[in-house]
Amino acid sequence: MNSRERILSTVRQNQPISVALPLVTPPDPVAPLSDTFCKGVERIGGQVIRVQDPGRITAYVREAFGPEMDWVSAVDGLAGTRQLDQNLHRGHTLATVELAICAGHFGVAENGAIWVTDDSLPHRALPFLCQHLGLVVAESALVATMHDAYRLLDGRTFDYGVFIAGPSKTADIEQSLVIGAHGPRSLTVFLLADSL
Amino acid sequence: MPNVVEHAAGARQFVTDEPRTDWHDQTLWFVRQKRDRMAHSLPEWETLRQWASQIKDHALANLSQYLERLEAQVEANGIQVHWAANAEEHNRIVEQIVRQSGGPGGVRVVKSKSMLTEECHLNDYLIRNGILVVDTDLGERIVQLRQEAPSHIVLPAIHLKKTDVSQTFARHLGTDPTNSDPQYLTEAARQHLREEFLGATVAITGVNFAVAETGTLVVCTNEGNADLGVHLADVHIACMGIEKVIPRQEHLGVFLRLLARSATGQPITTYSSHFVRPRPLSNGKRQAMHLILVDNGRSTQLGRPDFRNSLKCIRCGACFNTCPVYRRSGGHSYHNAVAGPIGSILAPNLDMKKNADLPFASTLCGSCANVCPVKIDIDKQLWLWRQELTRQGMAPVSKTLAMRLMSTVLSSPVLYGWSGKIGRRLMRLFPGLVSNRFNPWYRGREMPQPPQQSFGEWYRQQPKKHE
Ligand code: SF4
Repeated sequence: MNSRERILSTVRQNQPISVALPLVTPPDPVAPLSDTFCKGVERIGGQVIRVQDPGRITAYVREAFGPEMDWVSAVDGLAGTRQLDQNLHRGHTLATVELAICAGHFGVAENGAIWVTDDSLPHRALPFLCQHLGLVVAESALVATMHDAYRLLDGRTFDYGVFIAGPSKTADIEQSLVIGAHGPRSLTVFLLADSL
Repeated sequence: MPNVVEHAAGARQFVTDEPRTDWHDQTLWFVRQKRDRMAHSLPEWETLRQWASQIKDHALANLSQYLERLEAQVEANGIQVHWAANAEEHNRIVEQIVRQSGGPGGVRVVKSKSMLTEECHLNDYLIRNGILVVDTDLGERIVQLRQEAPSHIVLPAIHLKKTDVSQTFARHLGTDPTNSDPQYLTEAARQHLREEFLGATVAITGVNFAVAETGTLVVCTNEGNADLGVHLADVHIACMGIEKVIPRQEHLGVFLRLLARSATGQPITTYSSHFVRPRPLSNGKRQAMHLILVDNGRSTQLGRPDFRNSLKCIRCGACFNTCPVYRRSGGHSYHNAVAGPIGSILAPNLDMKKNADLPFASTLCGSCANVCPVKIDIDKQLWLWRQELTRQGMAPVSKTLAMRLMSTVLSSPVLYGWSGKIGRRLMRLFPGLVSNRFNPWYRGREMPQPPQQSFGEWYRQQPKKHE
């Protein structure tokens, strides 16, 4: 018998009588989602900028990061100062990116997390290697809790997806919080207003 | 017991530095309080724990089916699956994959946090076989440079002060030895590890949850180190214990709500990464990705009705932070990859003789069971292990001798009454008799003033009201 069969047969022999799975039901949202979401993002070290349309982002970047800022965009309809190859096969060249702005599918109000998948990224490493990260998410695409998030993901296929909640951080030295561990040193969330 | 310092001896060493012990104690208690604030802010917290516990019970009861389902799904997603019966086999598989991946520039391995690889002593094994592996979690990198083991499953360097880290980094990374500012030290590690990420050919990660239904492998970090490793390397090896499988993707909602809140008091970790299919490369190929499913005693533990509950653990570390013994004895005193209350249940399953002291390293106060997000009855299992170990003649001698005497006394009312009287008198006359440093039982305790009479004597003197 190889290890696979040996493990499976021992497990089969030793596993107890089954119990039913619980029915998981999301709680009702309490406050308006966008308020909870904005507070959530700030609590985890990010900041929220409300914008009417993606075009406003360019102006904001120039104001906040200075006109010299070299930045890339992975958002439709938004052009950075540097163009990226559509099909990057090695992420290593992204190590010099100062600011990257990427598209999020939806945000989660209870914790400020934003769902990002690789089909809207030139490379999976981009949101991790850049020094600063911006994520664009529509106010109409907010859900209350992680339960609601997975309801949305049910049946959707993706190759790689990540909930990003704030800038990278660590408290491994004497429990002092340091923002900017290995990944981005800051996170700006651009919350797109509902179009009327 | 070769090379293993018993928990009590390790703890004694730990408490010699009193200010450091106090700091350790208070810092972990602070993390526990952050967890409490998070838990209390969710009205449905107890329901979540109940769900999590039930999902895990169900998953363990159907483990073989879910493992087969996971295997099929993961393979369909283009990931190669390996099975390892024990630590040695796991390490050999990793070594083989690493060797096969060797390009002209040789191999460079980065590893994000994985308690399983600690349990298997993978680093030692790889380094002994000439393969360099760099831990990329900041806390783990610190202890690796110091050639120590992590002392906590979530906070690997919690036993160290910033001045220790400063000394270590000065020696290995060339930082200023007089600067121990955490911001400065973290920045130095960031620069150092960026080089490692960009040069790595193989990335090893653990797995927090594996979804049988979809084959999704979920890895949670705050630093982003797992993703940086995986997305830049040619090969990704994910290592998981077989108990990490959960039935459906929607169950992630329950576990991700509980994990970080219980662990550090955050609403969620910064990154919750879902790996389904390997990264596309040029010419239609994809990154090589491997999943190693490791047993290493888990299937045996599943067959012990008293202890199988321990397999529900999601490694949040909440039971460590709340434990009065762990907080004052430090992780290294447990001489096991997983320390703390849960480690003390898992360790005897791996090696009963070597770890026989661990179930005794507890006050059985039950605080661990109260905070555990998957409702493991940790204190009860510790108590059951004590009985099992005593039956098998493996309990520490200091405990068994006294207990044998005690059981003789307790089973005879005459001896009991007589011994109590003598004891009280002796303790009053010679307080140093019990409270001395030669009595191992006293070392961990403060003795109260012995009363003038026993409860029995007092009771007999009371006026009888109800007759
Ligand atoms: S036993 Fe419970 S509290 Fe302890 S680490 Fe595991 S899940 Fe967390």
